[in-house]
Amino acid sequence: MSSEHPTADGAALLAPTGPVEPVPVPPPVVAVVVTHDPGPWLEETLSSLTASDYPSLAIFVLDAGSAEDPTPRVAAVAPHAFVRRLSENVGFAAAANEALDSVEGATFLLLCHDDVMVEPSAIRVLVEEAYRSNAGIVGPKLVGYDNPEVLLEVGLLVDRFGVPFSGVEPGELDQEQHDTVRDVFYVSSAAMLVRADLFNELGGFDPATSPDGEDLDLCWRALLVGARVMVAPDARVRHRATVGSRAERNGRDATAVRRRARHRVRSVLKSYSLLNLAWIVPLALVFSIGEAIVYLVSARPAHARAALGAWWWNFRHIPDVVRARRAVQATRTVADSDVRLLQLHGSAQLRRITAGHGSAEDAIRSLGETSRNVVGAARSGMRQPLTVGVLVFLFLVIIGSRSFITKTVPAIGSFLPWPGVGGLTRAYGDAWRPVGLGSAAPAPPAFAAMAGLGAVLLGATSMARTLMIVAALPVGAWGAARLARRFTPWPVATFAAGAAYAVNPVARNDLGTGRLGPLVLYALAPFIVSSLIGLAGPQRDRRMFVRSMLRAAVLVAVVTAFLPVALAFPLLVAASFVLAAPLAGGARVAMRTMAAALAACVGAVVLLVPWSLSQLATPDASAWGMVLHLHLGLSDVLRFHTGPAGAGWAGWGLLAAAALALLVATGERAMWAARAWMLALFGFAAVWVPSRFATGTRVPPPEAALVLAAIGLSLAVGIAVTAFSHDLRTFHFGWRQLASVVGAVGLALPLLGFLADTTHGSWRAPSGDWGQTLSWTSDQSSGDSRLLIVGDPRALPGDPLVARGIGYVTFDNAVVDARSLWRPAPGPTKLIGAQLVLAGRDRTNRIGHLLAPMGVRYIALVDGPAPGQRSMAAPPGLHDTLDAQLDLRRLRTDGSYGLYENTAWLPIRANVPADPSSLRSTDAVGAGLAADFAGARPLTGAPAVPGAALLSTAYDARWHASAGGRALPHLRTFGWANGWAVTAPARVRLHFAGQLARDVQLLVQLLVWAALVAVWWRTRRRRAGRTTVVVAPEPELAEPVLT
Amino acid sequence: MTSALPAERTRRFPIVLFVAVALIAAIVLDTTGSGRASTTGTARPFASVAASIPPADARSSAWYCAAGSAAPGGNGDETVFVTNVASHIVRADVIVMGDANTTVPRRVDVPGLTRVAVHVADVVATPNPGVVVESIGGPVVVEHEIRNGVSIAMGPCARQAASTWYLPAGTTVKGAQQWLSLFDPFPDDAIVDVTFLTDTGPQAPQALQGLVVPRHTKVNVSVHDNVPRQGIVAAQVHTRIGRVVAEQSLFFDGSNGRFGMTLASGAPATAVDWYLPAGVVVGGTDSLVVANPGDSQATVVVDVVLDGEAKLTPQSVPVPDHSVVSIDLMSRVPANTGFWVRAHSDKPVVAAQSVFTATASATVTASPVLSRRWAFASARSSVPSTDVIVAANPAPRPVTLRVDAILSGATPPIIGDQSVSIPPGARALVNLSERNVPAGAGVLVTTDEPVAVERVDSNPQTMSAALGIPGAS
Repeated sequence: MSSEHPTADGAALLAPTGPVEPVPVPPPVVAVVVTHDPGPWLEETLSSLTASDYPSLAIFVLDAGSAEDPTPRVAAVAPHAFVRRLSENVGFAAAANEALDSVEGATFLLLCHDDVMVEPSAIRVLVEEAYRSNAGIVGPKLVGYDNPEVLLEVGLLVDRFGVPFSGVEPGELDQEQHDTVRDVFYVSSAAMLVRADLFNELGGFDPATSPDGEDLDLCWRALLVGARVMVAPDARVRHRATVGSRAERNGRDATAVRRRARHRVRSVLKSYSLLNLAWIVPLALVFSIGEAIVYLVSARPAHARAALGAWWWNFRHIPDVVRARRAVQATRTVADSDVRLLQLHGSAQLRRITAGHGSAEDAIRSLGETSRNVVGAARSGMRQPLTVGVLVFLFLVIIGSRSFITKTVPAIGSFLPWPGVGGLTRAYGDAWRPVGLGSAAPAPPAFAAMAGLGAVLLGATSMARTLMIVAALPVGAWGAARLARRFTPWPVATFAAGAAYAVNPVARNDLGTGRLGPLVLYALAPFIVSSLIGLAGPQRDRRMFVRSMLRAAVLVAVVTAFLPVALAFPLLVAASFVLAAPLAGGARVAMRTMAAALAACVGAVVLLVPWSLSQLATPDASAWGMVLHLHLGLSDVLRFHTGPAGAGWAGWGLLAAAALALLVATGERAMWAARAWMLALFGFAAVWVPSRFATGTRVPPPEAALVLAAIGLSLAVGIAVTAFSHDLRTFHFGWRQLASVVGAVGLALPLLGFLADTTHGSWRAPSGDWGQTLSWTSDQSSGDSRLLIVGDPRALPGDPLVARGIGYVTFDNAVVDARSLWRPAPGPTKLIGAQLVLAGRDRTNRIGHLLAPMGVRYIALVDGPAPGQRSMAAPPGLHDTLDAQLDLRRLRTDGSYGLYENTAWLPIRANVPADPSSLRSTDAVGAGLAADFAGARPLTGAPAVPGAALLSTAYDARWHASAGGRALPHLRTFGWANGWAVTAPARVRLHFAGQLARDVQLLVQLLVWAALVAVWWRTRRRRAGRTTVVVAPEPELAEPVLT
Repeated sequence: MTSALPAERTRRFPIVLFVAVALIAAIVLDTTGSGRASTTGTARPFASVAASIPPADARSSAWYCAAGSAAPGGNGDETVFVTNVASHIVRADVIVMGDANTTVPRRVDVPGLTRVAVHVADVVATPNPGVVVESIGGPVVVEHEIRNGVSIAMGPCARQAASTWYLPAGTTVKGAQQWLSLFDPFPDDAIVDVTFLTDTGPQAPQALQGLVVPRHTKVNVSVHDNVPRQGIVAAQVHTRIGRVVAEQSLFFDGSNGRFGMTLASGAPATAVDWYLPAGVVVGGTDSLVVANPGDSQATVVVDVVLDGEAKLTPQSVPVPDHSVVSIDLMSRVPANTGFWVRAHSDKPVVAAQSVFTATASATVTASPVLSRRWAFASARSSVPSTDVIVAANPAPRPVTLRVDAILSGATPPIIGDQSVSIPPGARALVNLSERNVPAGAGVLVTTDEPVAVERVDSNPQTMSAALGIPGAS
């Protein structure tokens, strides 16, 4: 060792002077401490080095351009240390590389940061291990500087893409659980013992990978030249981790995130052989893209940019990368396959991201440890019956939905296929809706929701549709359990409530008959009820109140978007509480619930503007999703048997189980049991009363109205289970105990129906659909046309209209998809029904001519929801009626439905060489009989002949036609459609002039939602605890205590 | 330990009581009322008969005339009578369909309450025409007259096509030609199976199974070639695909003592009650032919109601399954006594009347319906004849009968005092010839109770009979 004292300038050559006695001495180690503007811990770092028990240790401080000369500070603590100052901050790696030139004769270099504290024995242990294992690089156990009991790192592994892994969880305490000397992929440069000759051979660190990548890069290169990289946990070093601030390490510093990603990619590009690069790089790119998407979705755009930008950065620096690569590959002696033994499989980054640990470098966690923890948690959870119950339920849902998942959801009812994101977006944004005979009413916001969900799934709208449909059942069950938690913390009771909601046939009937709106209501209704109850309680935090209010409004808005009549759902809930008040008390809670419901409804209306306003302005009940009531007996209603699903007599079990709450619950539980039952009675009444007393009126879909009852019974079951546990013991043994047994059995009975329905694979929905079967009728070679499907309204896809019991629905060009849902007020579309009734009453035998102005080319008369099904026969006589029409050509089918081609069909956009005035008519129903369509042809790009240009859509003055640059006179043809007089051959262009107004509407809605997001963001500060109704056993409490 | 505190008991009771009362009340109400939603759907009145008067507010209606010819030498030169039963002008299109490539329309404006005659051959000369008469803007009734030499047969066209037709009164004895006219007026082909019930058992000639009746085409089936020498041949037409209109005509060359020509429309459905108002034959035979297409024997009670005071005991006639029987009505009827027939069966059957005189023949498909309103497109045949309207009242109460002519925009009463009372179980005859009803008139019969009405046209050389066209009152 040199005897030179530390100097403030110049390099000190640490070369032995004079002859050396051949005495056995430990191999010399030079501790290379790189510092830049060191903090107050520099002295501690140096003191720890001087206190080391290793006898042959020299300290070499490399100051990388500190503002203040650290030499005096070094001298004060380590007078024998050597200091070399660099003129600028070249970074840790470049500074440490100065040791290549400045140090001679050292066997090992201990490269370390200026914020470590080395334990006295650490260096000795490292050296011993280096010799024992013949390791080229040995790292210590890094622990917290201020909390040495907390582990930081004990060596690291990487995956094939260079993403590091540690075996340490954040905050993990050191209990010697990682104290195994082992080979690792790399050790941190915070403190690493490197063989000096190896360091020389490798050329030191690669400055381009510093900071935060130089250690990985160095160790990787060391492995490639055959050196071992090991960790010796007995050597403990405390690390403050100031090289790269804690913020950087935690990934909040975008620059640090970007840097780490770049350096990692550089190391990958340098270190792999060319052959392996050929597949590693594309795969890594794919994973990077996936990583970026996940980051974007989780609102971490900086990480997303870093993931992808790393590649671009290296591509821009490819000459330098190539140079560095050449140097690495020139010295390698080890194949990648050998190095791979120290790498993990898969992508650690994605796994870590999905496990919620964010950026890789800031919350490094061993995949193995993670897996072990997850499995351990699962094992311990599995020992709990409730967890098993939940898993079994989810499994059953998947089994019951297997056909939906593995094949497709049939296009029955409102389960119509979703077009692509672009199609949905256009459907939402276009000013004209081609539903029925068309309308300028605002499109339903449900399209926007569907487009959004499809966009989240990268355009897979089919998957989004399946997900929405399949997930509704478990989401609803979870919501019910969550709702029950307001009244009881007992998991068994909440599970029972969720189970009662899950096995209720309501959702299965929706799935079996294709009722999307009621299904969405089923899924979200418990959350709405929960929000209302929460809002009805005393509010201690204004911010939380606002957020709760917004949440309720958003929930109601979402449900209303899919089922317009559901806007009344919160009011019905509140009304049931109000009605229960005289019986069970709690009038104030009931009134507050009503106020909250009103506010939620108003909020929903505002969020859905302008569609909501147009809905409120329409008196047509069918536009609200109301249906003509089918007869349902009381028995069917009480057992929720409104469709193919059910449990037969076992369906009474739910009522029996819910009745237990009324019989056994005491105190507050009894009051909430009363409210729950009132809710149930409301739901039953909403279905049964119109069926019994007001047949022929339009009412909410039975499955939607029964959601009220399902929630009520579910809540009652949860309270019943709690009462069984808490209240029953207050009674003498008697009928209540027996009733409890009955109730318990009753809860299990509906499960039988649920299990039976899972065997079907698609919840008893038919396997085919009319859209697929009739899609061939979409031939547009002769012009645009409409497909008219007629039959029992329940059997028809989409939103059918009804005329004297005859359901009918049209699809433009036989495109049966979700864009035809949530139709506006029918307008002239009702004429089609009037014409069908006319034919049915023997008032015409030329219905083809009557339908011709509507562009109807094909008529399908169905007797069931899908081909081959005759479960819903068409109204009596309809087959005979259509068979008797002289202008309908009956086409061959499989016999399960009738299909007719209208021989008098007129294209939707047609050019008719007739006097336009002859096409005016005051008889909208019979106009087609008198009209002369001879010579009609589709309106295409070819010049139109003089006569009339017809557009088979509802008349609207905003439709314009022009030919040869001149506007054509607009006429109301057939009493309801659009026509223009064509006086000279010219190409006719049609356009609708209402798009600007629609764009303004969209902007307004966007602003409303932006305001909501802004308010939500502003109130996000703290998250209060859940409001829970603590239903105390003390009977003297008049109001539920919300905590 | 005591049970729940009194306060709890008090609180629980009203809740439980309310729920219980609500459920009980619902159960009671549910069991006392049906509350079934009515699904109106579509219901065509008079679906069991081939012809009916269209509703007054019909936008359009169509009539199908299957039998007849429109070419020289064809069996049955056809003339179509279109009578407007509304008071305003109605546009009628007489469309003659020769085959898929020959469809010739003739537009006729029919003034209110007026009859128009269209000679089919004047529209287009085609040997095998099927005629469609469509009216736009009002109801019309349509009959057609077939002329073969001196023989004339006249009867209503059909207002519906059907998938099943029964034509019971046929024969293929020596000297008889039985023709079945199957007309498809629709734009798609029909495929039919034609079977026969004979007095020797059912027959289903192979050539007539899966018979294609092309669109807009009429097919004439020569029954006599497929089921020869059968005394009674009841035809049944069932469509496999599509719908057709069926009529039957018989031609007798006198070699078996029978002369003349008959025309009968088919019955689209079986029924348990059948009515034949016009039973009067002088020097001939009058038979009731009953065909049972069902799978079990039917017992038909044939009630021959005599004019006057004399009564006959109803006769119970067994008709085996898939068979046809002929009941000689004259064997029990006193000479020169008019009568009418009502047949009631315990199983659905089809009934028709078969009349033969020395010089003429007629077949009439009985009526399964009674109505308060009946129309005839033509009061008189085109040849001088005795034309009589016969109305039979099966009700146990007297019926007031009114018969009006439809002529030149008015409906002058035919009966002088404008109404006739028909005693219960009796019938009334109105001789149009004696009342000088013009040949170009139609007839409208209205009663205050449902009756059956028939028209009989006869002269020494020919005879024709047909039930009227019922309509909603």
